Amino acid sequence: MVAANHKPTSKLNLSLSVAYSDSKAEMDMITFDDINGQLGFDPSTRGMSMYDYDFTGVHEYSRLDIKKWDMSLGAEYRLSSTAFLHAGINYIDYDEDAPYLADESGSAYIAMLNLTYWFK
Amino acid sequence: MLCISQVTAQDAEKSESTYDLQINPGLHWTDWDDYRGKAGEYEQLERGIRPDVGISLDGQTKHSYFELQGFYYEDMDNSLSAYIDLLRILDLEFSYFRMPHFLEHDPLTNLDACFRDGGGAPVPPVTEFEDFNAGDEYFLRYSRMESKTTVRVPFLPGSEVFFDYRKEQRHGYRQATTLSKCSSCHVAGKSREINEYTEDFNPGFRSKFGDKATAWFTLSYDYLKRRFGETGEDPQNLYNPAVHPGGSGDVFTNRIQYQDEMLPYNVVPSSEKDAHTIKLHGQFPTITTDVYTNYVNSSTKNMHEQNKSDLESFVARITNALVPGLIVSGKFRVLDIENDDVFVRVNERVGTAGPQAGQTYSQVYPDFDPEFYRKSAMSRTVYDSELSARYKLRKYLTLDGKFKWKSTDRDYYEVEPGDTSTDEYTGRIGLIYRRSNINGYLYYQRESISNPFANPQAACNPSGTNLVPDATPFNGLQYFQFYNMREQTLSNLPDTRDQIKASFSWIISPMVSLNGYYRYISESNDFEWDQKSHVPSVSLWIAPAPDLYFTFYYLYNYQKTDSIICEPVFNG
Repeated sequence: MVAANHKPTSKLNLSLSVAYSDSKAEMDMITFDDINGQLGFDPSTRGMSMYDYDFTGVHEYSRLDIKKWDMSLGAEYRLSSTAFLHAGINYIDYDEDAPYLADESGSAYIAMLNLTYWFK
Repeated sequence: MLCISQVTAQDAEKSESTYDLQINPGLHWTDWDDYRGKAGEYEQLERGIRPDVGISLDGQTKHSYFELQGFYYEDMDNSLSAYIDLLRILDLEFSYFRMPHFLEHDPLTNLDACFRDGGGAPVPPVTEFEDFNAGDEYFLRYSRMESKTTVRVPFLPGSEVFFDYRKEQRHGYRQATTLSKCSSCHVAGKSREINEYTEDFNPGFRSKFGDKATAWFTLSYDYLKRRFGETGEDPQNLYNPAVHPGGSGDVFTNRIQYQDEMLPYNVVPSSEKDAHTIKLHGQFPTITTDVYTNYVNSSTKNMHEQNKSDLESFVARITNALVPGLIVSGKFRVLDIENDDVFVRVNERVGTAGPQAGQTYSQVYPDFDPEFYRKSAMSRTVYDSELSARYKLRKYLTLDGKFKWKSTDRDYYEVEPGDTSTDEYTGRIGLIYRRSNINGYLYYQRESISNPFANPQAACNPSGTNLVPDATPFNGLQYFQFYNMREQTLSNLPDTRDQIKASFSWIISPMVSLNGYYRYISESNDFEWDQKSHVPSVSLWIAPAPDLYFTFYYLYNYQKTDSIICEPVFNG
């Protein structure tokens, strides 16, 4: 994450924030050594030929690979001693590089403009 | 268009009242691409421009102090809080907020497992799925309201009575899935209405008394009544007839509880909890000693089945700093949980076809008794004690040590054949360094756990001698006979854990500061399971000019787990 704040004039304040996250999770390939030896018999000769003890693709089912960006830019301008104007934009990007159930990638955009006015 | 309004303030010198009012009107624009449930999981992203407004008011009069804050962003995203203190006798806090939470919708399209023939081609029958509400967007509206009312009793200085209230609610829909016959052969997904509430009523009193110079006490008692309920309609599913996949007909009738009917699923029971808590805190300044005790008695009831869980606990802690530079602390806790037993009643059906027609399953296999009393694994007595000490070795440097012992004695559940207890021993030692511009700590902790929570009949012996193929699987080795052959204890909880933690904060100059953190954990047990994790992080703050500063932050989280996997090898 990187954040910055700058006050170019006495009335203006600028802020920037950028956050990036990269998440990965995976399993090793699942292999059964000597399945016949562990069972004590050959499945294909005992009416179990429909059973395939090949799990070499199973480790891909739960793989996780997600990248996320969260960026925001803001400005605050002092109109007077009792009034401020705020403006900001926020961009969020969620990217799923290994979808299996459903691809949940998406982006969101938010912009805002506010006035703060007070009496003390 | 922006809208501006003003409120005139009172002159403080004339009325002894002051106000500070702030109003924040504004506009926001939102949009999204593709799927919004993760990019804006807690955001109400309505496409287009919409208004929002905030208000903040605080002030005081001759007899009161008050605060009010409110913010309206969208209909599912708003908040309100208020506080008033009247004559220092009545204190009232109120808060309310609402937010959305977007949830996932599993399309179930991955459930396409099937058999293969000798050549590797897929063979029916296959697993199948049905998403009855495909395309529905699932989200919840979450809200929480809290109120705290305190009355300071004028004729009993130091005493106050209070009444706290909290209500959480969730409304909306989420996905509910169920399986229909023969494990995962048919998966159904439907929208489940959520109309859930948790409500707490919490009255009590607090009193401070004694002599502040020699012995000062704080005594409190509170009663908690908690209600939880889900009033959303339970989804219904048509559970398929359990017929033989090879076309042998309705031969499984005496092995199942229900079939070929619409039944509710994903049923959420309501519950109620009653808890009494007494706390006593004593401070003895002349001997630099602090004593704290706490007693809790609670009972939680499942209103659907009327099962109860009772808890009783007692905690005592003493801290002493009489020796200069040395702080010693001791703590003891005993906790007892009693859960009701549950009699598991089984609907024993009679076979309607095939070789077991006219018999129940237990008539065919007299060794199989489907009904039993489930004794709770949660029923237990727990003792734990802790001794810790901090000693100032020299200027800026403190030595910190702790030893902890915990014994969990379960009433019924065995974690090893014939043994229901788990004992944990923890030792921790560390150094703490504190100066005006740099501080940090370094700790090492070792935990040794005998008999961690485990399943003593988790898997068959890996030698493979348990497996007996049969040419007639229907009458051959039965599932319950196969499950009873399991004899190997397995657990994914450690019996040893080593942990290192370090942190520092360094103000290098008025314009630069650096912070760092690191944690390493290594865990393992005797069941071929181990896990390691590293979490380093660093942040840097730089201000190259008075009106310009940067913050950089990096965190890396790594975890690796090694475990054996059990795959079922059974032709049912």
